[in-house]
Amino acid sequence: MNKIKLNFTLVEVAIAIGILALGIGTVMGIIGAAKQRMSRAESQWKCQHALTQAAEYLMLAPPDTMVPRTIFEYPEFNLTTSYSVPESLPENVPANLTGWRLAALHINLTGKDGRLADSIVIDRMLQGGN
Amino acid sequence: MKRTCRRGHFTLIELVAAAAIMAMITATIGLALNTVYRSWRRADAVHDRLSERLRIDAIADTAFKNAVPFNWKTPDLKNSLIFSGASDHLLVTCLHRVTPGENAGIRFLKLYREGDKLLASYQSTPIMNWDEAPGDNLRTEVIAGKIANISFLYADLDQMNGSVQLFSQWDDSKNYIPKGIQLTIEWKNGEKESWFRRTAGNGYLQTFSLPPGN
Repeated sequence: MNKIKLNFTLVEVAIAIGILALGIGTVMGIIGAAKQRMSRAESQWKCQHALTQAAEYLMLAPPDTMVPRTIFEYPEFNLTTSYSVPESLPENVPANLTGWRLAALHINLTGKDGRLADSIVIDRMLQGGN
Repeated sequence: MKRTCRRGHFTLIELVAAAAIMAMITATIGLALNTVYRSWRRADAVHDRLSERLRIDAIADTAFKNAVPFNWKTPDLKNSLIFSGASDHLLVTCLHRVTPGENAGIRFLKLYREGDKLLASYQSTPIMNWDEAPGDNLRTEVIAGKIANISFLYADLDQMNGSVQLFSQWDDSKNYIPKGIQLTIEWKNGEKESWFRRTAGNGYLQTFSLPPGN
């Protein structure tokens, strides 16, 4: 009479534990990657948001205005701005017309390590000046 | 012949060893699952935070940026702006592009804090700050939760040099709306974020009002 085998061998148990470890490892990897992606998305949003804050204020204010801390409260970023002649201006269009001129406003956002985090160029009309 | 069968019985050492191995495996699995759970909770918290910020972005980009001056008759038949800029709440009229057919392209919005929530109440007919009764079509949405405080700033341009001036309260006697509006939210966990946007429709030909005689 054949006896029904009820026991597991050491190899079977080791394989089962291995499969379980693999499953848990895979789930941990997926969740880790998701967490990393979310953190990256949040970091990108933060950069864009800080840049938008500065741009909205600067577009309202006269040139050479500093953005106050009540608007730009990001100690982790440095903000630099400059104006240039817009590249997209056609050749036959005068740069300065009836006291108004089109200028390109460059806003750069750098981290504390000096690396450029984000930047934007906005064309705006300015009155007078060179 | 007497046959000794040891199978089916375990010695104390075998039991202790088996229990120790089981405990070790259980502890390892428990630790791994706990790590997975905490990672998931952190990812979920970042997702919730980002979703909330994006909802406030949408309010700032639609309501603040498209804010327009809109006049309505007061009970004593004077023209009055449907705008109220206090330090803790905002009532604003804004252009609204995406709207069902029966609603007009103008939306009236009130942003305020109730408890620990930032609420937005919308209406397609004027929300009048001199009339406390809400309209029939008032809808209220929760924009953000777990809030400790909200505050608004209102920007105007200096008539002399064009510099930006920021006020914590908008002067009702001005017959125009602010050039910019900033909403600052402080959360209970100590986080703080601000949304500043320029408004639209401040030009001479962009003021909405009832024709004379109405």
